[in-house]
Amino acid sequence: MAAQANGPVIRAEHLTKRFDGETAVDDVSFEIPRGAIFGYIGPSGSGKTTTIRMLTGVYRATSGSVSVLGAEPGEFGRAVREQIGYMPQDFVLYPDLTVWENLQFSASVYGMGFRRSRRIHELLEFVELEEHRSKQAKNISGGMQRRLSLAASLLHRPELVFLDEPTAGIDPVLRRKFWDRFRELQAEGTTLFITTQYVGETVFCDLVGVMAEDGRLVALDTPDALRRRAFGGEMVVINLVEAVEPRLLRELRGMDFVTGRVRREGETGVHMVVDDAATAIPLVLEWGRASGLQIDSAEEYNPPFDDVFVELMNRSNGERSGGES
Amino acid sequence: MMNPWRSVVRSGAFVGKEVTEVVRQPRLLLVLVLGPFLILLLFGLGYRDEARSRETVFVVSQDNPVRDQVSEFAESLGPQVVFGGVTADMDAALSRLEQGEIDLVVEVPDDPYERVRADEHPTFVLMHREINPVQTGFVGRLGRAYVDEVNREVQERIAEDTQQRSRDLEDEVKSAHALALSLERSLAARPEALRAGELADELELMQRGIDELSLVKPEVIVRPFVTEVRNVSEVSLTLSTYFVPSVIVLLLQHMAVTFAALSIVRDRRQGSVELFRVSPMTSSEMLFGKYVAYMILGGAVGAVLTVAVVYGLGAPILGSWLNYTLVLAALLFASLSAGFLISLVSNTETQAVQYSMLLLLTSVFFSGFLVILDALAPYVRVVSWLLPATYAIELLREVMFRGALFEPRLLYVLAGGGAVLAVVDWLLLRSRMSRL
Repeated sequence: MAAQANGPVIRAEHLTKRFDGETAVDDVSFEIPRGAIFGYIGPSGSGKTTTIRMLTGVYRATSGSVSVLGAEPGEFGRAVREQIGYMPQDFVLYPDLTVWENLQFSASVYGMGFRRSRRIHELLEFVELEEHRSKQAKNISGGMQRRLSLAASLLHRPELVFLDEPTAGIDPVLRRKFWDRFRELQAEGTTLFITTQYVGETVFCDLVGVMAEDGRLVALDTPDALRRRAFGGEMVVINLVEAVEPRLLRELRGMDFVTGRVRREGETGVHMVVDDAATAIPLVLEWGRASGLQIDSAEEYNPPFDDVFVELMNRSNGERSGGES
Repeated sequence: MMNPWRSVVRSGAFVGKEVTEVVRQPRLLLVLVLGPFLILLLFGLGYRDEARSRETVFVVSQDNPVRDQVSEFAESLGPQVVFGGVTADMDAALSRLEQGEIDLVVEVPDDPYERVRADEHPTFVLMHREINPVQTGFVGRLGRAYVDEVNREVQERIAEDTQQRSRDLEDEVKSAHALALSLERSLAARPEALRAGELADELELMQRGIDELSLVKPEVIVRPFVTEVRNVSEVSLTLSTYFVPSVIVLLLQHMAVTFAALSIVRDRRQGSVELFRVSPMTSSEMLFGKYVAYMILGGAVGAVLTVAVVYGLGAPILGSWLNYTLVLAALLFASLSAGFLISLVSNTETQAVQYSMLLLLTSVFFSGFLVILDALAPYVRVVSWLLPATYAIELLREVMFRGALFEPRLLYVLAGGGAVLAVVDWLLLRSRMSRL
């Protein structure tokens, strides 16, 4: 049974998985709309792979409910399985087979007919392995093996693809190419569920779930909204010609448009959290003129997602310890 | 809705994959096919169906009346006893035995004839230092053969003496017979003439008996009956040819079991099973694909081995090729089922290999390869009949050397057992493929 055209492709409600009393995934709920790229980020051991395994039917959830493409993973029929592509975290294809033979094998696993060569060539071009197609998988690099796994998971044109850390161990240039490819797939209507440890890759996603080390989903939103949530608003950075005096920081904290913290950066810089950067910047400039300050620049600042992630984690830990105390 | 063609394609994934992986290892194939053939060839060329020669020293006292005859007795046993000399010093002989210079010491009893007259059994004592139970048994048989030979020689000599004495008596009996006839004539009409005639008749009978005794050779008197063995089978096999079916069976069983045992456990260890769990591949499609792949590989190896033993070693196949093929197919099927079972209960590849080796070892001892099944206790034979090799060796010997399948039930049981195991394999694999 296929998912309803307008409904979410994946719906997870209070999903929990425990192994021998240890909680790997703790009460996770989310919905992923059709055609979205869902980034699932979190440190190693935070339950990303376990979540994927519950969504693909490899693991049975200890509690909670899941619906993928309109079906419960334990009840997946052939039709649903044929719509799912899966790239596990480890290389699980066959080292003694060539790149081409591995793709032939994967095509057969999905019951693709004999007119599959063209599709395999397409995928080899897509992952830039065409010239390595005759090499045995054991004789290609780890990065190439990951690309081969990716190609194998996409061969049968799945509607929904689970990619478990597809960019792990891959150089930044190639990682960027991967994300370009994921965007292309998205444009073709594919929904992608991607786990990653590279927080910076979050920016390429439509929706991001942030997992904490203890298996909780601490945030679920668009990248911009997450950034906003992490810092309590948008960030503006101003650079003065002279050194920043403590008095100025106190004044800024009292302004209406400032909604979060105000912090000195170096001798002449100030970072501040505002409700809306576009509204706040003219007001900052106005305040500077009124105060007789020479402002060299005032602009919106997008902190790197590493910072966003750290901030979210700190907040989560703070909330948790506050809750516990 | 299920699409049968897609099922075939999915199973085909494993046929191609498994065959390619094996074919990509030419050394493995060479070892599989050429190895056993060369071993069999070497065994055939090098095996001598002869008992081992044992250098034997005889300990005989100086005044023993048979001292001069012991070497004759020893030589009569053929090449299995090499006469190492006669000595009266038992300690020296035992010392040589312990140092491994000689293989056997025979203590000849003193005063053998006196003891026989005294209604005793003079005893030959054989001393050896064998540790191999088979060789120990052989020394026992050798001792019996030696004593039989000595007894025969003694009996022949007694028979010869008796014949000689009879010949010495013959003239005297002739004279007595003539005298009795003459007495009968001289007593003509008197009643005593009848008694003289009876005496003459008795003496004539005695003379005929002596004549008959002299005509029979002493060895015929001692050993009147001998045996002659005739084989009505259509073939006369050398020992190495006789082992051909067993070797083919053991090799194919071991190959099939090992391949199958490593197959699924490798998929599990490598993580590929996780991929299959998510894919539309079912456990039955996966298992079927693997069966087909290894049946093809095993069939190819079986065909090459058959050609090699038939044209290389001259092993006959008197039965039909169809029966021969059916036996090999049933063997491969049952062995693969056993191998998949091993694969499904093993956690590591090492464990799978160990279980496969255990099965091979069990087959070597209990399948009728080394010893005939009748030599095993009935409760041990239960183990034998759990092994695919036991059925296949019996069946292949029938097809190759007797020309027919005289026990088709064995074929049905072999294939049926394989089918039962295949169902168990499928259930286990389905359980392994289900959600964790």
